[in-house]
Amino acid sequence: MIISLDLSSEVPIYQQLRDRIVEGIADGTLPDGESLPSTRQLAADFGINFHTVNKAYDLLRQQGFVRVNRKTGAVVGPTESDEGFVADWTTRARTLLAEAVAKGVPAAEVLATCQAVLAGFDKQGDESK
Amino acid sequence: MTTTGVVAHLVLTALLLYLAWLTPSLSARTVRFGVRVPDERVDDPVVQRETARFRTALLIFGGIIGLSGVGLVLAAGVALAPAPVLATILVWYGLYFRANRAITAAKRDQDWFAGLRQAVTADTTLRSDPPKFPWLWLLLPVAIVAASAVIGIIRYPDLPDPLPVHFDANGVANRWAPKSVGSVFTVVFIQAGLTALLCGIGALVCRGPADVDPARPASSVRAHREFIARLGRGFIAFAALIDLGLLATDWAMWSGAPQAETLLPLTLGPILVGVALLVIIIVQRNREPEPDEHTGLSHRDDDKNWIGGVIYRNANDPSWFVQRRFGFGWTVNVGNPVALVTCVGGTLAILAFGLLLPLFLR
Repeated sequence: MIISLDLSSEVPIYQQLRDRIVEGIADGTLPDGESLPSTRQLAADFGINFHTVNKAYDLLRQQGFVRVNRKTGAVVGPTESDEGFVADWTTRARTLLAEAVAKGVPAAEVLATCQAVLAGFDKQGDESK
Repeated sequence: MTTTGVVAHLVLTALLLYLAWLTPSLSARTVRFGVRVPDERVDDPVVQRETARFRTALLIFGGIIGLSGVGLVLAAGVALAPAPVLATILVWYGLYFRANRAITAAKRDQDWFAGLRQAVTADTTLRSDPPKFPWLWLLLPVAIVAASAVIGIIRYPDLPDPLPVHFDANGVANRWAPKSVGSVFTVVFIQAGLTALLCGIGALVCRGPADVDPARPASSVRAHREFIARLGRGFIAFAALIDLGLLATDWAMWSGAPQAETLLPLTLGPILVGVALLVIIIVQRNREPEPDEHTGLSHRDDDKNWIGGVIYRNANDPSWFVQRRFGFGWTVNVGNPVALVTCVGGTLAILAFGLLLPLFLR
């Protein structure tokens, strides 16, 4: 999976890395059981501090997207979503949708965008299978 | 001997000048004379002007060094042949540094990176599925070394004791060594050692760092994979050709009647072909057709990590090696203490081994 981190963005680098990996899991480029490079290896490939990568991996582990094991390193293995997750995610989705509505994006367009993004994940997932 | 010296001097100087001439093609697309430039500035008038100046000056200095080198070798003998080589490297670096300063100044004055989104890119598949080292190709150099060893074993009983190990230009022996496995198989050991070294480098290169261009990541990763596959095979072919050349030396030593005029081309010929092969592989690297991919991101401006455009120092980067900016290859990250100590220690160990080896073989 090709990951680009935008250094001039306001989003912290570890957050960007975490987001890209979650997207990779959703669209099937990082299938269940796929191992991620070690923190040092990935940091060297980017040329960034390995603490940054560590922070992203920690976040992914805490949020239940990867399993970290002393022997095999970080492995993609999302845990099933539970009530807590859905509640938290709904809050964040609410903020995201509010941004569009506040800016006057028509509801139909917001829905169409959501559908297109979901369809994109499905399609890529099928291709990689 | 002086004729050989003059020819060796001219070939070496010409090869170095050619490599220096290729400086702009040896580095990554967005690194011009050691300066990181945005994708759309790769063909900026300043870059073009500096490339033209660099090449003109190189030709002039190259001509002067070539001619004065011939005079030097004729007047003072072949021992001074490394002097023009050193002079060529100094001129190469001097002109490179001048161009580096000029482009850096233009980049700063015109603020080339203004408004660009700088990014870093990596491909995780280069780790989960790294380019494969062509192990099967190893059979080629191994077979040649094995053949050399077998010929040596067959010839061993008939070899004289002491064994002539050095010959003058007329093929008359002028140095002898007691016959032993060490003296008879010296060159075979060198063959085996060089094969292991070159193939080891080839295998390391497969795991080496990739400089993925954030502006066109997919095509850049594809180009990297193709290049590494070619380079791995190139290193093995180079090892095989060196072994072949040294087999000629083996044969000359074991047959006891070396002919300098046939031995020299037989030994150096394959080695030069190998060097040419590697140069072709490296030069073709950046001649990929323009891909139409463009993500809107730009490589990060990392010039401050490069001292004089040659030494890489970045304490934040855990990498041990990064692609060089001057010449071709990889250079150690001196900002990484572990990498630096390992490399300096390793170099010292190899030097010590090289100095002590003749004592053991005696």
